[in-house]
Amino acid sequence: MSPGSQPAVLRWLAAAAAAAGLGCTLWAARAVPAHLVRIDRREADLRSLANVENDARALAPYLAALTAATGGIAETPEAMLRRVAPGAAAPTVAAAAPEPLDDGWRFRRYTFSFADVPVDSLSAFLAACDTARPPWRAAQVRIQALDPGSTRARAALTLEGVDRAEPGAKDGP
Amino acid sequence: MKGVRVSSSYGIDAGDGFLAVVRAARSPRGLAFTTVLSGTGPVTEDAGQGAASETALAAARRISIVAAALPARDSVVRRLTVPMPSVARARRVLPSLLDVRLPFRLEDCAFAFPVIRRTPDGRVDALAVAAPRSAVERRLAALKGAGFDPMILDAEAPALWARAQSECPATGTGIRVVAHFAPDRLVLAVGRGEDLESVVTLREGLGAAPSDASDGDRAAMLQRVRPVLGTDGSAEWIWTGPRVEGDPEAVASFERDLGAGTDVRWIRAPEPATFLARALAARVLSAGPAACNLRQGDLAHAGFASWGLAAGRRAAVACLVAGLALAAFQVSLTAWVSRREADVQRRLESEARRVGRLAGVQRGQELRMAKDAVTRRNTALAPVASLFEPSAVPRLAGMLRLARQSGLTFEVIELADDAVRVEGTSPDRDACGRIEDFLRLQGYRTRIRRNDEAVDGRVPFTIEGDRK
Repeated sequence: MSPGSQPAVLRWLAAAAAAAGLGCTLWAARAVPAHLVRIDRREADLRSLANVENDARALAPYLAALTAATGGIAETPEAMLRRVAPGAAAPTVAAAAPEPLDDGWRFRRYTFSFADVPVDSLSAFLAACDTARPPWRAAQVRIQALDPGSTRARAALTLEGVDRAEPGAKDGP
Repeated sequence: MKGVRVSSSYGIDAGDGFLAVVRAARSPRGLAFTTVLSGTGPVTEDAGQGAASETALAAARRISIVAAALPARDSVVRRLTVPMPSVARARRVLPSLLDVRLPFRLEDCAFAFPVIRRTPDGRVDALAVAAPRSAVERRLAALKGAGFDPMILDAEAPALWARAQSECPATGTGIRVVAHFAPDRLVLAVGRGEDLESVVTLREGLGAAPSDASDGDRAAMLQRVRPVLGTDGSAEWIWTGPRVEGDPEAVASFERDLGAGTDVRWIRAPEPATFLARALAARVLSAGPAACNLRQGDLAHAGFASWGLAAGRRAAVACLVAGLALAAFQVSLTAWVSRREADVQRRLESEARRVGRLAGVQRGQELRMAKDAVTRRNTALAPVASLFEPSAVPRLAGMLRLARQSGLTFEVIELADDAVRVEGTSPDRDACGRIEDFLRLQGYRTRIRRNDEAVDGRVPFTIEGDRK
């Protein structure tokens, strides 16, 4: 390169650099606002996710209480009836399909129908259900006295509770 | 000067028996002038050498441009008109037009066009200055002998005219004469308004002692000057030059002789002795009519020729660096914003997976998928909350306790979260009301129905209720 051509080359390089700078500025002027809009949208989504997370945590205290209430496998209501009222006639038991909850828990609903049961046995059974950990909650109770002294009764009880499927066991009543 | 940017300059007015050196510097309030040397008569060797050294040092450090003038008697000033509207095209033909107006060959001249402008009537008007190269060489040799090596050799008359426009602005459109009265010459720059039109140089007549001048010399001089003033009204005459202060009698005598019968407004420029030096220094720095440099071709100042080149190279390098820096900045900015977007996207996907307990999320659907997952899960877990509602057992126990206390018997009890129904008998019509009160306290809206008293004296009753 001759010394005389150096300034010309330099001028061309300067012009090219200026054009590159200008081109990059135009490119950035178009690209950056689009990026910023997307960032704003995603940050707004992140803020909204915080509200969703609050919703997700709404039931967390109940689940925590369940976990704290029991360490092992819950006793079934039938086993409980046999334990607290061994002399009572066996009821007809209808079990709804278990509804899977969280962390292995299943929601269970049983309907016990007693054709003729001593009221004392019924009381003991209901008390045992109520104090079990986790409890078997009596959602509906229908008791019809069978004698004037109300010592025997016909009863239908709907009990709700949770249990945990044993590892490897299939869901079922 | 094109391609060269300095903040100060030196103007040298060196003539026979006179030397003035003025430094001009840019300041917030315009140009500030400092007289380095000004004196008529023989300049002492020390003073002259001191001024020459100062200008040489400033030039060597490239902080000042040094300008001197080619005397008006050695140059030609012409006004040219090109009958075309394009200045660029006019520039190409101006040398040819000048050539035919010169008393010597253009090839042997240094020439410049310090003023080129388009006129309102669609033509191009130019001021041309030309000087034989031999005159330029002689002038440079004389200046070198005095210790000066100016980078710019300007034309004397245009410089005087331009300075007079700044220091003594025209008050009308009449004839205007800028007269530079030096020991060796009287130069008249003549024009109208802002336009310099012609230059007259007089050597005769105004000697150091006016009385020494012969009547013939004076008569010849006045004869040359009178036509300059014209006959069409008033004129302005601006006196500059060292003799204006040094020989006031000559000036007064001239004004008397010339002023008879004419309407001339005589003006003395401030500090007239250094006026030309100021004019030369100011022309280098001012944005007005450009200084013309008659040091051209092989007569150009060796060091100054590289100034423009170096300045151009610096400008190109600055442009190169600025362009690359701008490009780098914009690319970095875009990359940074892009990276930030990717970070936010990653956080969003991670949070959506965590909150919604999802294995994966679709880009752009993160929030919706997490919301749906949480809604599904909450719906599925809703029964868990109901487990913590009070069961029917405490209500049942409460009713049985009340029945025992009040002598009631129950035949049927149906108890649910949202409904209740009780059938039984009461020992009187009021006792069963306690059960109703109890159920109301539990949130049921109840209705009680009492039948007629039975044969055993007991009152059958039915209580029904519901709640939300």
